[in-house]
Amino acid sequence: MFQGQRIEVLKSILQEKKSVDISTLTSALSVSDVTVRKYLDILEREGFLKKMHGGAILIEDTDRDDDESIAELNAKENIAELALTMIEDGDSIFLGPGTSCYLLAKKLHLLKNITVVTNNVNVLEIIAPVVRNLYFIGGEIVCRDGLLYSYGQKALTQLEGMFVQKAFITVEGVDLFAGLTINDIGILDIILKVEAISRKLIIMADHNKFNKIGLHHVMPIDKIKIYISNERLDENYKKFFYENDIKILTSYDI
Amino acid sequence: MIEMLNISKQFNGQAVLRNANFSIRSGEVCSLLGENGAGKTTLMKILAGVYSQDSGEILFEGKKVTLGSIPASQKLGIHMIFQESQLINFFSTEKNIFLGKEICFKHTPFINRKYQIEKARNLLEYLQIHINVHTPVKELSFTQKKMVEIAKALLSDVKVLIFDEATAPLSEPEIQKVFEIIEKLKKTGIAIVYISHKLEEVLQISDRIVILRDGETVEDIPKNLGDINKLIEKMAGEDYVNRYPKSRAKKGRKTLELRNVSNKQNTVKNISIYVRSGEIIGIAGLQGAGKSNLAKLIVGMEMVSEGLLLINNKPSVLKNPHQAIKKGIAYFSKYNEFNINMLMNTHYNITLSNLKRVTRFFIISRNLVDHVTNYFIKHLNLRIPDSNLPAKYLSRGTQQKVAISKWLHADASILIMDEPSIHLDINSKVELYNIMNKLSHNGKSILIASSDLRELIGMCDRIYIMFNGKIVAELSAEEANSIRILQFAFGNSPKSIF
Repeated sequence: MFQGQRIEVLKSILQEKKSVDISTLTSALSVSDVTVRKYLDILEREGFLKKMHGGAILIEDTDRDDDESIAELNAKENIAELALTMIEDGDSIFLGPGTSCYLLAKKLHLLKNITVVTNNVNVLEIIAPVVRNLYFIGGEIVCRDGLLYSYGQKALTQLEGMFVQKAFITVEGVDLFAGLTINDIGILDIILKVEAISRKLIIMADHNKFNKIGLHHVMPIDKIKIYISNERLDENYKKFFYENDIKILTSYDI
Repeated sequence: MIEMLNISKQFNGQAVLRNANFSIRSGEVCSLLGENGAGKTTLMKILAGVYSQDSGEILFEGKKVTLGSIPASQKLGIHMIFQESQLINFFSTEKNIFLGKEICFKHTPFINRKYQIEKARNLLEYLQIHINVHTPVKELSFTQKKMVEIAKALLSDVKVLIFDEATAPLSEPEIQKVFEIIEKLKKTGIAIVYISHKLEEVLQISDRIVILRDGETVEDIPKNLGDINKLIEKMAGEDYVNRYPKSRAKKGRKTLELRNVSNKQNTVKNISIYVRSGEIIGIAGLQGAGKSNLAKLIVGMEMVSEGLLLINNKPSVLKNPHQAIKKGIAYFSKYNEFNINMLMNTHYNITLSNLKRVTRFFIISRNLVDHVTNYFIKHLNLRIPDSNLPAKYLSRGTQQKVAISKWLHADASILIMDEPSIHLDINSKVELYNIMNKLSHNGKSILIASSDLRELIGMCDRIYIMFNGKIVAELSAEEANSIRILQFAFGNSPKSIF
């Protein structure tokens, strides 16, 4: 079969199933996943489908307008994908609460021998089967907007004497003057402790979080050396980070 | 005689000179050293009147002067011999020497040819250059052309002569010839500023050495205190590499390899390099080392005369860029105008590289063209006010992204980029580097030829350093730092391993 024919088959599979993942396509078309991704790229550019989370969904005519929340989820997904590239086999990492960390947790199965320390309850089920060691920082659990995580003095003491190579956390606001801010004062101490016990503290924040100010100040913006965001990040921040020798990784969905 | 104090200059919001200082006395030869982009040429162009400084003072014999135009500088006796020839090829030597300063018969507009010819002959004799004044300049060798430019400058009352990389392509005897002339001029009290990358020459000819780094003057020493290694260290500066958005990508098989490749013009000699999928490779080297020639060789713009070029491990001969494109190689020239069509709009520019994909039944589908264009506008964050605007109205950063879109549309898998971030504003640089990072994670191979050492150290997995057309070193990201790269780039081997 030629590429053209294979693409037609791919299109008909998608039209029938509405959404399909890459492994289904590789067996259906008898090609490698690299080739399938190439086809998906082509069809995405033509507006036929939308690549998502290891597969693709058919674009029905009514879907062509972008839904804000899908866009936001997509941005977080891209950020998580980029964050994954910062982790190497054998690393020990800390994961904070939040959706971006959850999406990152879902990808950890792609790495080997990872040790995870976390206070994020939502990720435990996903991470436990795929990592070498998992430490959950216990303590009082809070439930906010569907996010379950621990905080408080008891959680803090469990971090004592631990060390991780990389820590990934999210915040409510990143502002040039107000710095990093969060809304839940409970995890302020945990974030500060994590900063002290990690070699690299990485903030994941989509563009909407910038120029926003939450309730509680955590630390100045330039105390963090690595930020991960999406491509729509405000120019002024890109410029600020570059000029201050701070790594700013922005995802591109291509 | 001349003092330049606290000179600052910005281009496009980027500071090229920051409170730089420079001075020169009559009868002195002062060399100006620094990496590419340190500000040497800009500083001298301010002195020569090509630009005017944003802030700072210039003193001539103790008195403050305002330059800002070439005639103003020339009036004070300041002349610059640029890298690019300022001569008119079809005119004779004599005509060129008197270009703009023609001598006419008194009170008439008629040029006194006889007088000019004699004067030109005398000048050339004084400089001991043996050229017939009637020879059209295009028949002269590079050295001879430079000599004519020197003669031209001597017509007026020269006090300061600035040489900008004048000896780059010269052979040893030719360089000595230039030095003899410089010695002669020195004795008559003319001050000479010498910008060059050739450290041995600099140490030979200078009385004083001034080093610029990132737009500032970091060293001003008499020649006898100059030691090549120390000079390089001073030029190198901080390695701000944290800011580069690079994360390690999975490396695959070799996509591009050169084995003992040379080109006809001998500007690329016996080069062996390779790139794998997922890798970003850097080509470092000073101006004239052959980086651009190597890039052009890979994309089929210059011919391989010896050696083997392998694409995906298969030997290939690229007779022209079209064949390179078919093999998935994309080229980004350092000159923006080469990369996209400035007169056509974004739709045209992006889809042109692969019309098959936007054609249905032999007709270009407007719908598909729009889809593809909108895809890239959205996914690469192109800031395009109106996609029907000709590309020349877009910002440089956006133009570059359009070029990237074009090649992604053509499914390029090997990107050869020559000075990709030159003239880009900071925001565009950050975006460019992030796009490169993502593309490497997508399995593309990227080769960057650049004179920005930090960019290379920050973004590349491996860096090859060129000197005089050859590869003199290969450094991994961990081994690379500015000093080591500069040492190799200047043709030295480092004394110690850092």
